Amino acid sequence: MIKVLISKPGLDGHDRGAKVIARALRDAGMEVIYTGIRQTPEQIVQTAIDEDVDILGVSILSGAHMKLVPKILELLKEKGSKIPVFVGGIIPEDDAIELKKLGVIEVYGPGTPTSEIIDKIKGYFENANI
Amino acid sequence: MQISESQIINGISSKDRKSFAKLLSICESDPVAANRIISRLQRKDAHVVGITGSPGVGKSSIINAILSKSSNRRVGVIAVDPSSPFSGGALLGDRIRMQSHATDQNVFIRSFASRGALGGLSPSIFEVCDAFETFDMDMVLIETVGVGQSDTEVANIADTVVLLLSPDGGDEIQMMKAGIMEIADIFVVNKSDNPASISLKTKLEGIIKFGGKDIPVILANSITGDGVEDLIKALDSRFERIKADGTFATKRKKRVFFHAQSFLRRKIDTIMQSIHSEETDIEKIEKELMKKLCSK
Amino acid sequence: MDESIKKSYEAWEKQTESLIKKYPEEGNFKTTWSDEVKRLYTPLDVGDYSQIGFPGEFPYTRGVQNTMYRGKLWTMRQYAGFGTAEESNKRYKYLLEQGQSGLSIAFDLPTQIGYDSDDPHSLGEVGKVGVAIDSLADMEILFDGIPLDKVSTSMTINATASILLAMYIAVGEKQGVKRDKLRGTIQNDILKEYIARGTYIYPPKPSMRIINNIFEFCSKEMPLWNTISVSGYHIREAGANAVQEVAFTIADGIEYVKTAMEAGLDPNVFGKRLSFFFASHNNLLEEVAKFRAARRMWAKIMKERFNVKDPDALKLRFHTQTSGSTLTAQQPENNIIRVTIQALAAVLGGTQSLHTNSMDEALSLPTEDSVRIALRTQQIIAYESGVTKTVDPLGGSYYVEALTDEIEKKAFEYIKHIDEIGGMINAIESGYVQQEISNSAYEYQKAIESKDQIIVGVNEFVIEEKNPRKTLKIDDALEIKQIEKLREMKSKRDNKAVKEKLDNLERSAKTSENLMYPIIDAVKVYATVGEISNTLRKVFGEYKESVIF
Repeated sequence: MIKVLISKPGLDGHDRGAKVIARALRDAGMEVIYTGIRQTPEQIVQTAIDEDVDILGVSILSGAHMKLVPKILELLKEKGSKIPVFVGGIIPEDDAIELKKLGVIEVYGPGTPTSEIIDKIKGYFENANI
Repeated sequence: MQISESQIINGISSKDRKSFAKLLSICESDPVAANRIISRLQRKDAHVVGITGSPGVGKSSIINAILSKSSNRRVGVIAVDPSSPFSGGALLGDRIRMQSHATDQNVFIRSFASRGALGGLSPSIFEVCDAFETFDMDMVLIETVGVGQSDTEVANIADTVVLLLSPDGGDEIQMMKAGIMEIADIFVVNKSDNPASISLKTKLEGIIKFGGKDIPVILANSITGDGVEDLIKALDSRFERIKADGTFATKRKKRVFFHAQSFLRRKIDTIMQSIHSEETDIEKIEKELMKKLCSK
Repeated sequence: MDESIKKSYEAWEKQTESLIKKYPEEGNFKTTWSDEVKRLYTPLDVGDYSQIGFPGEFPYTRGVQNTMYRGKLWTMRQYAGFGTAEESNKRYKYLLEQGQSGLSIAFDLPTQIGYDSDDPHSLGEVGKVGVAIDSLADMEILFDGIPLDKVSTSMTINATASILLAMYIAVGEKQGVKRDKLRGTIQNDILKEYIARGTYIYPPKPSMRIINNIFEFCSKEMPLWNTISVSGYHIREAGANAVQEVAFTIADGIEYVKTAMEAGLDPNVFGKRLSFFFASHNNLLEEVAKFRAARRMWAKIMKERFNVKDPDALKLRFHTQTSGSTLTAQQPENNIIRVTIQALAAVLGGTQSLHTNSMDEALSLPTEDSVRIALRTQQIIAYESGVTKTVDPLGGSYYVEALTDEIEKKAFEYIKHIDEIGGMINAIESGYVQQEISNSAYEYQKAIESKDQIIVGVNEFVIEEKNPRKTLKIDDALEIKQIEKLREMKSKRDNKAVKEKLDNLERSAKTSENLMYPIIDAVKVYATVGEISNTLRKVFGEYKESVIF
């Protein structure tokens, strides 16, 4: 069973994408925890650790991703966690490259089919198990 | 990332959240290992409280309110949401309303999917509950799925069952039909700002009196937190009382028995799910199953 | 006559059926809310002409003015605002020079949710989706050199609308413009924040009280100000279909009229100060029908439910914005065409003002070039397409009229259900509305993935794309600068006066006094958005979202 945390840091309330992804992952057989909107990086990281999730999804549309995502990565590291992180939202390409350099496994823009995200997550754990 | 059992044990002894989180995962994936680890840890009797009531009545909110008003004690929350019968996946959203306590060091919230378990609880609920008692908790709150009848199961594990009702639901009738009134130790009527909640409270008190019982009915507002202190007081005084009068000891003894039952049921389920038969005759399949079961 | 049409129609259908056996039809023949679309619409599908009527006359299906765009074009109003007040001020002056006719102000999220720029919640958000306003000092810069008696200003602000309106009044006073001369709109639609947009602060009841206070205040002091823009836009963008957009928006509207009446306002007067805000999506004819249906429904509701007599208070006037959620990150130039279709739908639907999105919005904040193209799109429709030459050019189209009727019917069913469950506030608190929208959003996503719904460049006609595009970045130094500015302002102002005014506000909040007056007093002594909001948080508490997927 793959356990996923879908989180929404920052102040924007656009949770359509986060909720659609959450439902799609559920329908793909995963257990999905959703934090709700307006979460601080501290709340997200503590939740991911307490829930012992396999993977952490971060949804941001406000443009604050270059502040918030690195902060999440930093806090995970600080707490000795190796939970992989993927990001969804309106992320300009050069920012996406930068975030991947920092350790984000994938960045998904608008229009990404949920099946692509599901396959990526499943593939990630199949490979990790080998 | 694998960590060893002794690492987990050492971690939990020094109140490391990550180790405890791992133990809870083991409870879900490997009950044998979980029981082994738990048996090697110090345990403290926490007040295990089941919070039940229809979906949407405000169970998560009332738990959030309890957390907000119990700053000096350690509280664990077990939030159970249903698994999808189609995909086996689950959406676990109970945390949303408790997220202001996500970074509270005295609070540990964990979400569970029901994974088809009987009784609207997680199949690993007994292990999980035991595990929380190794993490120095004063109180463990179990939020049930809340679908009526099946919720009576929570009485097998909780020391105290709180039934949450709302005046908009018309759900008191549903609850009585489901026999859930019989297992409630404390009633809470939520949404105290709604005038109808007062009449619901009066109605409930009438029913309780008629049944010759003495069960407190508390008026609360899970959003503003009004009345939640009364609930905490009622919980504390009940805990004192049942510890003194022997009810607690009896309940705990029974809990071990229910735990064993649940453990066996889970084992059987796992074995049954692993058997694929080409047989078309029910009796023959049954024999095949029995043989497999006994051999394990 | 109907009989003969019916006969010919049946004969035609029969002949067509036989043709279809040879040449089958292919495609998705459903409305976006999943009803069957017929092969052909005829006079048989159009009801009573009284439902269509004449422009400027009840039930206003064909428009709220007799001459529509022949008399005056719609207002081209581009929503803009980013970074600091200085930068936004420059952009506004540029847009006014380019021929834009009104200002539309976007605020950053901390301003919208009542946090100062130095609040921990604001980390990374300062100046991102709009301009950062901490205090009157920022507002003075924002409108520097823009005479407030000459422009009409639309502010997209909800939970903190009372504070920003108070600041606007204060800036006006400094320019020598009295509040009764100020023209503009505040969005002020808190219900859709709980439903879809998420920038709420307090629970619904105290939020409605603040709105009630604004209504009352403006009716006395600001006769030219539009006190609410009931917004379907965000409901649609959150995934609602066209029927749901109309239904939930109008249900919100009903709730606000009730609130205004509770504040002692006459709906005959208040009705004129209320406007709507809708989205425009790609399905051209559905969207046109949606605007027409909304207009007719509102007129009927105001007349029948609220007994309004003044015709001007029956008229649904609306702003439209093209749909951000339909824009794709893939092949972004295609978005120009999408925006064109959507803008055309809004114009054919009779909008009073329009914002056209920029092609690069799915990638980042829009650049100046793409903002110009978006404005040019409107100008081409206005001056070259010819659709403005007659009123309601699609009126009488069998299909459009049938769609208009159908949307009206379906939306009224929703409204009836909402009435049955005790009105919109209950419907929101129970999560009913959010669940309906969420289901539509998920169905739509599934339709895209199964290719029942083709999105050009996304699930069909895909190309390999290279070269990261030029996008607009907000400099991170801005946040630090804004925080410094705020700290400096705080050290200079009269802090004793601030405390006094905030205490006074807190006292008022605990009574039933109108909060606008103490808020105006507080902003004038440079109390910040965060300080004022926190004062009210102490009294009202904060709202938590319901658990809906």
